[in-house]
Amino acid sequence: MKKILSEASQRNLAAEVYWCTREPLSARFEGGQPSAVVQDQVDQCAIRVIRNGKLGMACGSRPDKAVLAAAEEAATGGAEAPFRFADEPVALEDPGAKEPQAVDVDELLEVAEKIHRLVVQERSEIPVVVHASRHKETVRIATTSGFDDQQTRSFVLVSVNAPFHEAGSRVWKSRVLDTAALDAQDLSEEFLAWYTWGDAISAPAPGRLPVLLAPEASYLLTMPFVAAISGESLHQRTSPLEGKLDQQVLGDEISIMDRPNDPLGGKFDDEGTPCADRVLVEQGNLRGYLFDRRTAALMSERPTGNGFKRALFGGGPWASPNPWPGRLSVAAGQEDWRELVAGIDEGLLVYGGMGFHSSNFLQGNFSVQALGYHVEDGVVRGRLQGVMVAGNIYDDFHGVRVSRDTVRHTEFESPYLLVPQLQVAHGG
Amino acid sequence: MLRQINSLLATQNAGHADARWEENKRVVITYRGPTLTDCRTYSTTGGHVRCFAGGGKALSSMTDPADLERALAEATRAAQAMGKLRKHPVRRGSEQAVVGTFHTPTPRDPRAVPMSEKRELLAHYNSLALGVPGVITTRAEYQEWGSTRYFASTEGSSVEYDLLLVNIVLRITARKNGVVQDTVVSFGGSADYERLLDRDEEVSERAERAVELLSAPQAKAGTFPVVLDPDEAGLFIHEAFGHLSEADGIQHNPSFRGRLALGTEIASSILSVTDDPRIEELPGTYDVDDEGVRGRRTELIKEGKLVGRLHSRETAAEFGEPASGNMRAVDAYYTPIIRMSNIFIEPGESTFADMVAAVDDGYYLVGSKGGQTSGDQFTFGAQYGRRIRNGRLAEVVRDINMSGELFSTLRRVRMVGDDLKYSERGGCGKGSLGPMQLNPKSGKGAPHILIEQVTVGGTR
Repeated sequence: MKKILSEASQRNLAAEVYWCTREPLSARFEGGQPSAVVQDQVDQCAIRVIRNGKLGMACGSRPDKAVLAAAEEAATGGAEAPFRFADEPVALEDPGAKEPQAVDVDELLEVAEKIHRLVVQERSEIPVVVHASRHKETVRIATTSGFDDQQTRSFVLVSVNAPFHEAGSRVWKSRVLDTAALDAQDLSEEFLAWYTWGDAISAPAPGRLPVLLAPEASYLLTMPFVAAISGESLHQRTSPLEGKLDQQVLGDEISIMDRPNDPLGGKFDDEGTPCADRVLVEQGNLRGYLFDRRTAALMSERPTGNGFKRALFGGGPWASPNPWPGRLSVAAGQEDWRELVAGIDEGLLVYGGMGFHSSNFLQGNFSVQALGYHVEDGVVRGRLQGVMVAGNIYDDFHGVRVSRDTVRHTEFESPYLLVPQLQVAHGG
Repeated sequence: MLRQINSLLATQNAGHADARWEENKRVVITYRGPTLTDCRTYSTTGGHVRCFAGGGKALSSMTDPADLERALAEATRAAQAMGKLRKHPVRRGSEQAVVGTFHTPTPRDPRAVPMSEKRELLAHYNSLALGVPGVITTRAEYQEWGSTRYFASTEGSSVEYDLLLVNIVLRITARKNGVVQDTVVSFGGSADYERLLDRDEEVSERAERAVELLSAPQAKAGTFPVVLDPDEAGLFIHEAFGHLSEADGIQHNPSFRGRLALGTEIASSILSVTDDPRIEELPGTYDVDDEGVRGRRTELIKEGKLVGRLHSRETAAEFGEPASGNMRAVDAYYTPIIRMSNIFIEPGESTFADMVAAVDDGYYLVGSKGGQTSGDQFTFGAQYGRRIRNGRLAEVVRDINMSGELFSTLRRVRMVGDDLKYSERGGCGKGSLGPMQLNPKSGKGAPHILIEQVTVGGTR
């Protein structure tokens, strides 16, 4: 990388080199036996240059002179670059440097087989799929202005899912681990309980009903919110949260933080800007926005360490950085989630929603087909089929009851959220 | 490159293996509002190896061609280790080895067009949209996606082929009194740059529509009959049925597989659906798939009866059905999975006017806005809708999403139009054996159709 940066300097270019090396390893167990093993070793790089105030970017496999030349060419007549590349070293330990210990294909197969066995011991007819994987990704960023650092993100992910009988729609449960140690019994029991709730089909009468969002469905709240606090939508003046800093925008039961320094996160973003834990919503009051280097410059703000190569669809090392949370965390409340279920007279327990991306979510709206269950008199009656749930996070997420139980995923952490009323419709 | 792959595979002495090497070149140019924000080129290489040995299967991707040998050796060991844990060996249907070169015809090759010309064209459309009063911003993107691939197998296939696609996509946002609405217009969808030219009228119409939606009412929640325009009907058949015609989606789901046995009366008798990668100049057009099988036309539903399925060689063997040439990967860092090519509803005999006249209280839905499926459940959005009252088109409505259950909805298709139209822009996201693969080379088509009842979601 130093040679490339030296070459860039000689050509009077400001340059940033992003180089990601991934070594994923995974085993899949389905149809009662292992179905595939995957072990990759791949590199992806992206070089951004600023020449005469214009930005160009080129992507390749590894950083070399050809990629640099392509970035320089892209900068010819390219986008205005109102910002500078990172230049300050980040004085933090890499929070993700601890590699999961001694995980190989055999261990992943063993874990997958064990969970499969525990599930089919209880219910042999379930066509269970278990996926066990070890993720390891090292990112190094260096710039002509002096930044040069790297960080590693590694974890083990074990997930179990199965389609409901004669349906095809699925329920899933997963665990993200820092090591390969997994309580297979706990995961298989949780999965079996949720699967068994779906043996029957049930639906409430249409109308405005309470909906308990499981942590896996909390994105119905967080993704519209993220879109609205993005420096990009603020700059484009399409955000409903423009000018609402320190104003109440959500119910006062809701607090949201960005926690990038978690071991599943990192110490700098994908532009080399230091990341730090930040409060975004405090008891319903908006406390912060997300800026990458470009949108920060455009909005006369400081970058917040949120320049990530992520998106609802299509992110990755070859994408351009844009404002995105490092690792979103919805604050836990006081209640047991099972008691929240028990308190619902008529409503839904939802673990996913299909079609979110078709909604006008930037404005806080969602309208999805719910994956979940009908709850009546505090008891789960059966799984939903063809039921749509719609709402607006700014109108409907007030008086939300929040569980003390949280679930930790790779990109976020969230409790259960009981929304007092959302619009529920179905075809009967 | 083919010589190198073939030399390597000649040393393989355990089971079967295949390898794919790719040289990919892409261009992305983006305007947000009046500002050019992204000008990005890709020039990447990579490879993918699949090994079937000892009854197991292992996959490996790599960046460096020098790693091909190591990857093949490791995949062989992993496949053999996995095979020991299997009850039955992984089987694959036999296919005739394919040898040859297949290049995409390009009336005007976008790769030969100067970057400045692409930028100017995009800037022109972007300015058109921004010039419509009420439009506050845009996201305009030029997308050029090219891949040259080399595939060889120990069974004798040795193929060089390429994939090429160019699109322009504009998301147009309008705002008034705190209401924000957007519409999307996209065109291209083939290897021909000429298709991107002279599209002013469509851009202006869609920009004006975004402004009109600001004062439109939201859709009302409930169940209604709906008429779908060809783009939306194409999305419907892609989401509601197409994904379930991909055999890997039901391979390990015995109870569901029973409901999708070939010969089952699955839909209204007026509905016929086909997948065909050989129709020229569509997004999902190709000659050979990424496991060396020639792409071919597959009838999926004929007059309401399920008659075919999309397969890999592995699922074809397991189902005892013919392979279909639908195994495709987005790039070398992904293993091929079963994907629709160009899926479409065959034309029927009704007219659009017949359909509107047949609806007392329902909606006409226009323009696809993404969809999703999970087994028999599907959902999809429309860019906008028109209310239908007493057999006549009425006011424009916004924020309209629909959902349903596959089997009942297919039986509720009451009319199929005579106006089959293929959408210029396709694309599909699917995760299987790994992370989501967003494949732009997936096409769709349909005539107008009338469905007796679907669930419409809305906040009213």
